[in-house]
Amino acid sequence: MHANKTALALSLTVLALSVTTVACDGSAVGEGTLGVEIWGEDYIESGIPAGELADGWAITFDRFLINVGAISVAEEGADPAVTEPGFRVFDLTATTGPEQIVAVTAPAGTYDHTVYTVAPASSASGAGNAADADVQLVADGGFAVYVEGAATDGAETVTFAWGFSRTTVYDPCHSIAVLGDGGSASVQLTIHGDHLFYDDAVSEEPELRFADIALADADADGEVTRAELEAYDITVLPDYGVGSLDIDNLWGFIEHMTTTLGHIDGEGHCGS
Amino acid sequence: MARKTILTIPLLVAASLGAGVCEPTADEPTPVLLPVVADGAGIATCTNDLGWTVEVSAFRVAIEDLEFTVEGEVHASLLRRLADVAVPVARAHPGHSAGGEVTGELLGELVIDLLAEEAETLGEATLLPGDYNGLNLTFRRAGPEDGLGEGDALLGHSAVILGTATRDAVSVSFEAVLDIDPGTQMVGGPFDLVVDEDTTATLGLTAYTIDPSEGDTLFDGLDFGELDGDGDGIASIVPGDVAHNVLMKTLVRHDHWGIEVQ
Repeated sequence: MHANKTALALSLTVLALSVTTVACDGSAVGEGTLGVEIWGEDYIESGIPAGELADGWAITFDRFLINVGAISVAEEGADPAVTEPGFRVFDLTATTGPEQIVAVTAPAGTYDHTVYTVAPASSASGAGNAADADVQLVADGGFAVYVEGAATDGAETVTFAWGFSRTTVYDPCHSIAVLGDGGSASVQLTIHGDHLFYDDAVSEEPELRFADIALADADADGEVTRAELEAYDITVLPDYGVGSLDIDNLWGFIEHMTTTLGHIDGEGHCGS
Repeated sequence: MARKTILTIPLLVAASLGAGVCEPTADEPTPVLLPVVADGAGIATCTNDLGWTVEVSAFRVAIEDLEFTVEGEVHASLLRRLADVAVPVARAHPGHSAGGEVTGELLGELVIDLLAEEAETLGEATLLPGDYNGLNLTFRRAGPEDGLGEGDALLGHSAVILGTATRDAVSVSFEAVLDIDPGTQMVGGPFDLVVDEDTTATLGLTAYTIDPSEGDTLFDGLDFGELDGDGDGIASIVPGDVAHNVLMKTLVRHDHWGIEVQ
């Protein structure tokens, strides 16, 4: 019994030393690999099923292009360990899980301050995992976010192809990457594509809806365009609350929601 | 009617300060308590964008949690000081635009009657010293716990507005019963006051039928003649109506709320 207790104590001591090696000043010692990745999760990769929308529509994306850059990752109050000033275009429908953006050797520590920007693409934007033609598309259009897809309620199907040009700086993002000596950790830029279909810009618990978007197809050609959404008045609807925002049409509403797409490490929030 | 909960904050402040739990240091400011009243100063006769002149005769709203804000960065000690006496509400989800740092508040559920014969005292706000410029409040649905009489039109709803709209020779009396999603915030109503330890003032919470900045009215977009479908001179605006949605969405805008300092 005594020998077992001694062995257990020794094992626990070794374990503690390997996991938490701390310098005399309390800072972590050693270094590891710190990465940054991006992911649109299942809603962008596989679609938003009808059960998730309040009005029974289901949505799929054929392309979800996003131009991301000006990334930094730091321990709070310290200089960044990761700095990626350039912008790259990612197609979040073409991933099967998180897509790595960068990985660097960094000091061990807790990386809880991440910053990133979604901005209109330009000729300076490089390709993340997006095809060259798609990088050209968003650069030519000056799009920060470009989405193509379709929605159906089982009886009717409409398509959409929308480009948005809002710049959003996500700062600060409260990341939770804990990097140990000899280990690896990642910060994930998580993009919530479902926010485009929220029915309220200020509610704590908005629903997902598509029915009014479908109704905006004024010429009934099966495609909902920007012009049609701009002509669709949301002030008369029970939903699509905007609080004090100066938005009165469905395009303005969806465009505003593009500034809420960015999150951190799954459900983590960022200031913007 | 102000509920009992709104009295607990000033009592907590007094108790904690008296007990020395949060003794102010030489460089830490002392919270200031200022009374808040329902103020009908902003309820003015107005002419909307369709030419209807509206005179409001009753205006009651169910709200909660008044917040008072300052612009820019606030010294950490000031925020910690407020946190010592009241727990600020975290609003982390994108969509809740920051109307400034919250350094003052009056917490609790309230039913405010902006046109009561006597100005109704809502409670005492706790404010850290600072240059205030904003008001936030949260809308809710009135319930039996608000002490409303059975059959009160406000029960289960967020606001009841009564009045008369006139255009040319036509006059329409209306009653608007509005439902606002509970938790919906009005952010950034005007409130201008520099508060220091010597400040004495009464804060009048009011709704503006005329936007003080741009002149738009609360009733823009409402054609009262069309609302009076049977021509009997009486119109109702209720949940489910297009007119309800228009009026409800205008009422939650910061254009139509503010503090009048008395």
